[in-house]
Amino acid sequence: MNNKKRVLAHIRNSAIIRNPLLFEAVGLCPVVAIATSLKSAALLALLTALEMIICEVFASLFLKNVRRYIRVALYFLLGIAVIFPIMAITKRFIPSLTVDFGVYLPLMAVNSLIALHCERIAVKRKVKNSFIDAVSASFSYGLTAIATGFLRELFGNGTIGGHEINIPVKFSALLLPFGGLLILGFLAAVLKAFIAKAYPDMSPDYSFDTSEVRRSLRGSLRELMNDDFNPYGEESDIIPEGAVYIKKHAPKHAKKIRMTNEDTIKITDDMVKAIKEADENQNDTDGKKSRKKLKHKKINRKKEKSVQKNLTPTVDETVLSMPDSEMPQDSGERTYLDDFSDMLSELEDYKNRVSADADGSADKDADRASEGTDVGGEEE
Amino acid sequence: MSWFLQLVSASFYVMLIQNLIFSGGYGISEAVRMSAKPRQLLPLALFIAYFSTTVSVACALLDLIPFVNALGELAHAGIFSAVLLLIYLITMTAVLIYGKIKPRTIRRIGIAAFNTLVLAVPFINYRSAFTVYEAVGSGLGAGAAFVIAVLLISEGLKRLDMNRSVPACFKGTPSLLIYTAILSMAFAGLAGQTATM
Repeated sequence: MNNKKRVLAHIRNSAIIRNPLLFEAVGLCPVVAIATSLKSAALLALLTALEMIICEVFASLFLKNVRRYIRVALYFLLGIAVIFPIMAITKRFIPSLTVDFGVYLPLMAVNSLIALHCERIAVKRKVKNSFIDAVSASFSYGLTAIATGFLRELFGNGTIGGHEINIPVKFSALLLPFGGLLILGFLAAVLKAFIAKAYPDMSPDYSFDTSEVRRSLRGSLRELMNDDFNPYGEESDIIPEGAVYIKKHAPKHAKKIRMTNEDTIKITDDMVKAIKEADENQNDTDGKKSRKKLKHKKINRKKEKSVQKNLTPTVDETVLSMPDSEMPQDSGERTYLDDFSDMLSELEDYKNRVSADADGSADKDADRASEGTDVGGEEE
Repeated sequence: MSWFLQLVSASFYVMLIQNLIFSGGYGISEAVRMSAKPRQLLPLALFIAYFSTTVSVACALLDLIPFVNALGELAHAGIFSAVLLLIYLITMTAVLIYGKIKPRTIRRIGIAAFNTLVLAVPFINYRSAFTVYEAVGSGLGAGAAFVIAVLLISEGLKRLDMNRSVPACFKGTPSLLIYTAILSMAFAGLAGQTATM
């Protein structure tokens, strides 16, 4: 019974909460380009399902101990092995479809959806689980593609499955790639509204992490090359409970900015190192080390005394409150502490803005309420 | 000098007039996903430009052989795929021999090599009968097109993420997809694309 429930939960997660097309934004290219009619969308769904099931089962059976860079190439080879015979068959028996699909049919061999599911699930789980995942993900992918194809054909071409339907206006531009994206966007909104109603404790937002987007593009190419790269969330060396970690290790700062556990803030291993360094400074009760460092960095005596008084510097004191002129300048490069402090100050700004907005809206409501009573009074 | 003009015109064609990501939808998943990781853009774009250019040039050179040129589209698809696979393996071998490879670099190379944008470039060259110089231009242009697409989407995502007046059900990917559709519409207009009915 438990197994059955688990399987159902997995299907629900894979098909609805983490819908690959609508929330994870993977495998968009074929749908946007090919799914312009019900027939082509159905064929696309079928091909994707076939490719996905074969690849995931194969990966789960044979590729668990294969190195990652070889696995990626093997997914491509498997894709070719599935797609190319179908290309040959369709060219011979349904040549019109080959024309419709054009260059996109061979491109399906490099479907990001398949690589993602193989890496995230197939190479880590048993064959049965991989098969269930492949079926549920390809089902949701196919269903979304078919819905997109249906709507594009109906409103773009005025037909359903090739049969003429009398609709007053045709939006033929929907057959272009942007039409596909537009319909997918609205379908995603509808599904999100449904999830909010049917599964209020679940959010599809977790499948597309945008926490990094507020950070600016900065740093040297070397630094960027050393950044963690995890675009599909298949492997992660990021500590997800960032807010909890900060509350534990920098409690004063967390309290100051009223940090809650729900605040989406991510800390990498390097950030942890930075926090630990800050903690070590905090525990430096005799203050000799910090004084020596400050002397070494040519900080004047007055400021040195003020630092000496605060012998238990917290993360915000050491990193955030220190003016730029007093920041260590010897290396001339940004450190992880800088990143960490930027991240915290961004979060603080955001919190302030949110509270200001809330205050503003409360004031507006109060104004409106008072206006309402005034008007009411006048009417009376 | 004409070779330079060929290279530049093909590059601009692929990058701006017929932006592969917005007008054709090639590599749109990678562009949308990467827009949420703006710090990863530069390294990944470099790898994409490298793969698209090398694959494009290698395929254009192979197409100069009369026997290869006479083959059908299916055979060409096989050749292009084999070239991509070969270049990926050569690159990985070189990187492994260099010895300082990190898992994140492997991830980057894998994603940069096997995506629809890189594989689409030789097909576009073949269909448009591009010369070798034009093939170099289209390869480089594909990398630049990716950078333009990610920067445009990323800026929109940033603003959408901070905008509190976006309805809850449109927050996240729904609004991002609609925003990308509007960008795509603009590029389609620039390219003068029309729907074939």
